[in-house]
Amino acid sequence: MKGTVPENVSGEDEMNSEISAVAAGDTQQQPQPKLQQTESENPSVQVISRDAGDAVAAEDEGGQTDAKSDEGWSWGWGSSFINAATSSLETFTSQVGEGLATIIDTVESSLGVPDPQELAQAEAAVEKASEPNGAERVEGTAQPCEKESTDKGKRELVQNEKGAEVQAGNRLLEEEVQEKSSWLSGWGMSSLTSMGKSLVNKSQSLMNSGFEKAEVLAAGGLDILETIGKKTYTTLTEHDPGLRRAREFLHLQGEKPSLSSVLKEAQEQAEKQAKLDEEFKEALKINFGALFEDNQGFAHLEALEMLSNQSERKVQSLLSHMADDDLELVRPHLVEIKDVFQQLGEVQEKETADELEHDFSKLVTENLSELHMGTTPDKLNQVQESVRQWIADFYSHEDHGKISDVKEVQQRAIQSLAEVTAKAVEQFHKAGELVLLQNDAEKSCVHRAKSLARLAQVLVTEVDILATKFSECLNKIAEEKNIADEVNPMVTNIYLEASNACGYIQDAFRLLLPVLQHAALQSAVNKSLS
Amino acid sequence: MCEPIFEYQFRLILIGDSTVGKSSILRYFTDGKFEDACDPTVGVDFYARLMEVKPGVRVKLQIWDTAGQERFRSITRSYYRNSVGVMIVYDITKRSTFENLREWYEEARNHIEPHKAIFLVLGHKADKEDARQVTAREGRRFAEMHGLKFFETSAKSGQNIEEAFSQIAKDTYQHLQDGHIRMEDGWDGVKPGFARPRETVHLAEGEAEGGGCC
Repeated sequence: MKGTVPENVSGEDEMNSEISAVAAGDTQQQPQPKLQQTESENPSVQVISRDAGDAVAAEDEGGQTDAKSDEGWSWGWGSSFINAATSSLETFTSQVGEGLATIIDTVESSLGVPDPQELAQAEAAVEKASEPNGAERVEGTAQPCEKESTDKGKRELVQNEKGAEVQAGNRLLEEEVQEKSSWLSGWGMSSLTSMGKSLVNKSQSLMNSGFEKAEVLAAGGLDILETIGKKTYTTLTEHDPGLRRAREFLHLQGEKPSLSSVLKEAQEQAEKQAKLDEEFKEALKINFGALFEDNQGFAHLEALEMLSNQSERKVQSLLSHMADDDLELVRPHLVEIKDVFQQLGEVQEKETADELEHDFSKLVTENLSELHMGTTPDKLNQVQESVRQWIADFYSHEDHGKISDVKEVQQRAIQSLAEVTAKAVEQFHKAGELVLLQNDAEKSCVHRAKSLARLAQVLVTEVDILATKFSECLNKIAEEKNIADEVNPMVTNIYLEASNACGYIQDAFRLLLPVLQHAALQSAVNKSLS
Repeated sequence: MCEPIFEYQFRLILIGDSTVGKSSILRYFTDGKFEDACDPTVGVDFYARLMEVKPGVRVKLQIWDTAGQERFRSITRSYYRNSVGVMIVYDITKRSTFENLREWYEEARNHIEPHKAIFLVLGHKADKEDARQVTAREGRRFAEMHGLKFFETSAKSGQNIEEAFSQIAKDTYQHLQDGHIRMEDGWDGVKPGFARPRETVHLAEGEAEGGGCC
């Protein structure tokens, strides 16, 4: 409030403060051009000035009632005084009427705001810096002033001038009082010529008391405003630390928050949340890890790892308890198994899907049956078949002019890779379990290791083929729809996840090494025992 | 597909003689389906489902379905250690499966120690009342003697299946809250789940999300 009032102070009051502060004659001249400027005011300013006028009128009433009560109090002082008082009151009320802001200004100075002199200097500086602004401010109060009568305004100016002179003399003696009511004392001096000093003092004090009432009124108004402001602030901050929401809200909508807008906001929030949920689910649909987990891929890999670690420990303990002769016998087998596992690293050179093409289920079944473990690769074959079927369907749909959504293709691709990989890992896990159980079978562990290595190779190749085929599907759509930019990252993603998938398959296969060595050692031990 | 949001993952293991119906229980629990005939489990199979242990708190139950056949015993033993919950299942129509309960219980306990686990005894195939060889009272007495909880279940009628898993999930969660069970490195009985990342952001920052979306 304190900071803004000087800006809103009417031109009249500026004049007053300037005049009262600077006694020199040249300052009197300043108001005149300003008043003239008011005649060329623009409409928008007029509105503001009328509002100010209304406020002033309201204040005017207050001033008059105060004055009347004061009149009663001063009844005993004689008619001459009353006359003087009445006329002075007239002046007072008219002056009050012309400048609510004068009161505010005075209140301010009583509240310890910079004294008028400083203010005047500051004002002068501001006006120099921004002349148009100053002009507008003048327009603000000049409007009602003109409406009443220009004579009055001129008389006041004269009075003010006199007051300023007096004040210049008295300032040192009555600093605060004078500053508060410079124009009042000005009026006092003008009546001094016709009345006694004491009477003047009385009227002056009368004015002062009348003024104080107005001041109290204004101050009371300020207090209420302050209380309302504080209350509003606490209420807001209680639920909204830092007022961030309130600010955001007010800035966005420029109106008070109402129940409906709060509800609307809550609904938007919920929609946003739902959208994020949806996006999250969408993201998971093309998240290889999540899909691999859903198909129990990680569980099988983990279980296989446990089995592998257990076998590793068994291998160590069996080796340490073995007789040297037996060890010499079994060592070549162990080395051979190890060699089989190391060969997997040498991946064949990348070729096109057609060149890589193989009879998946035949190869898988063949290699698994060579393990002689009575396990059937049903799940693996089923998954692989359904994936191939989907790809075949895709191409046949295309022939009929139906183009699938690229996102759907991508989802299907990642999902297929995850499923095939999970089933492959499961197959290796089961193979490991069965290898440990059937170490008396006629097939040697080296032979089994080779079968498993071939199985791993088939699986890796299949993953490659699937990735290539899905990418071809995507590229086909991209070509037809001309959306290569959208599809390229998808293709990259598919190849990336395919290499992930191959990684898991190879990990699973490598975990079987200790299991096979364990089986080989165990059968050697069994033989030597029997 | 599993909903991705859960607080913890509890690993449970089902043990018990061959053909008592372990896989059927799990199939019913995860798919709501029942099949009269199914292949014997090879080694171990896995099932997973989310469960609410208290309002707003979900856990993922990862259940290891072990082969009951004797020849797999050496392998399934290695899977005990990383389980936080054990369900021992017997067939109420086959007395011998009930008599093996103690052996299963002790084997599991020995392999799980020093970790703690919640045990549950399930008398399965409760729909076959006519062929009953073990009374519910006997089953309950065995469970109470060892301080365990007991349910008679049926994968055909669905009797008590949901309740049994809910019980073990809630008990495990409670033990976890009370500090009797803790997440440890190198032990996978209880693992942290994953929540929506933005949810934690939302909780931590309150308003951050408004700016983030733009």
